[in-house]
Amino acid sequence: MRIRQHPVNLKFPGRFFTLVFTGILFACSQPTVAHHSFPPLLTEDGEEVIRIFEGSIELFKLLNPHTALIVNVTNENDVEERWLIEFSASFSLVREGWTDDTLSPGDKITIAILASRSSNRGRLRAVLVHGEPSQLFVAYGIRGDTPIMSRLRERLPTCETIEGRLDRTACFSVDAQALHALEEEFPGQMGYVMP
Amino acid sequence: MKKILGSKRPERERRGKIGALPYFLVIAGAISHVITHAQTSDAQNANSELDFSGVYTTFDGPGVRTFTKPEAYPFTVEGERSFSAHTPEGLVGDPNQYDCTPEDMPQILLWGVSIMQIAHEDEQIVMSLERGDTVRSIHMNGATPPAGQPHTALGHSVGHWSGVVLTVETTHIAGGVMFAAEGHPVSQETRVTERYWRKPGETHLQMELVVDDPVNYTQPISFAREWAWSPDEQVRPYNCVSLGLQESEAVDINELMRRLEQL
Repeated sequence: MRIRQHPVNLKFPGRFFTLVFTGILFACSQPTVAHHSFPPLLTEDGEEVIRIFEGSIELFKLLNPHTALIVNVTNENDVEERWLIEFSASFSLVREGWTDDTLSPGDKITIAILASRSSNRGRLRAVLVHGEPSQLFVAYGIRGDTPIMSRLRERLPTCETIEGRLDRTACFSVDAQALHALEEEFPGQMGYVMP
Repeated sequence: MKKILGSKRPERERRGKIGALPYFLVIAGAISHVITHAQTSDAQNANSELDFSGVYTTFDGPGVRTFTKPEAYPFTVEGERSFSAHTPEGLVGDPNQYDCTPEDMPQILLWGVSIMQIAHEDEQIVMSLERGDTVRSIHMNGATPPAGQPHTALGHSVGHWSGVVLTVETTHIAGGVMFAAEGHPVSQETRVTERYWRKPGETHLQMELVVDDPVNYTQPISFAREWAWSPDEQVRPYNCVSLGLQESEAVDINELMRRLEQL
């Protein structure tokens, strides 16, 4: 069982500038880049709650208006539960190279989600599909021109199958050595995709 | 002699005429080629300027294309009230967000990522957009909306050509918001004017879209974007499947899996 709540506090001195920069990015962004709004689960500070699980994939379907990923994870009481994780529309993802076989039932994963107010539903922030090499897919909160994307681009090669030209997702190839280096540099569970 | 000379002159003249024939044919051929080429070029220009048939996307090689929107929205009091009242949480119960209800005007033309096919038919232009399997009919026969025309998601669209510019006027929309995530309101009184044209020598389609909604805005507001001509793309079936509203109750995952496994 691995579950953790991140209050996502930016405690470094540049928080003000980060917020200003984020605000500028938001103001300059194209309309409706995010297709739909979700009612997110927020911390007392108003930050979106990020939860991290380890588990496996049960079902993956490219769908409109939201793609569905159902995962089987173990909660903090060591009880298995299923979560519905949503991400971008099929019509965007297929044009980035996604197919219904990009993620397969039985794949072992470590996944970070933006939790919704439903107890078993959220949006995909990042999922590491374990393998040789592993694949790291990133989405909400990371995709686009963000510091975390820059961090990943500087350290990891992209997957050949996914072309994130629409900024809905990105995929990185992560071999064991690269994963170890990331975990050393960005400690904590999936620290490499955390703010 | 005269006879002889007389008999030779026509021969010379005949030879002269025959000798000139190749030059005549070359010149005539050249003139014909120029005329034909000019006619063909005119036809091609006409087709490219007055025939927008094809598939267009808001993205191409480098990614999603730029989009110009107003720097500020001149809300009326009513518009400001509606905009302020619209929060992401308010979208929880908005069926347009999660229940595969039809896309509406003008929002359908303002999404960041979009694919559209244009087809010219006898008395209408058909715009098919992949999002929501949306099909718009633009009436080109000059007919005004009939009395009792209902207000619908896409409204009633009438188009005409002004030179090489296709102008489309849409009224009788159901109203709602322009951007689901932001909540800019549009009322049933809205008139949407689209203008489409090609720059000389280009295949991409320029679009200007003006929203005139006296209920919510003190003056018309304008948007502009370029639709990239994308002959390798196609409008595919949208196959919308609702995952259910984003309510606070837990999702019935077993039931959802049963539904999705049947797809």
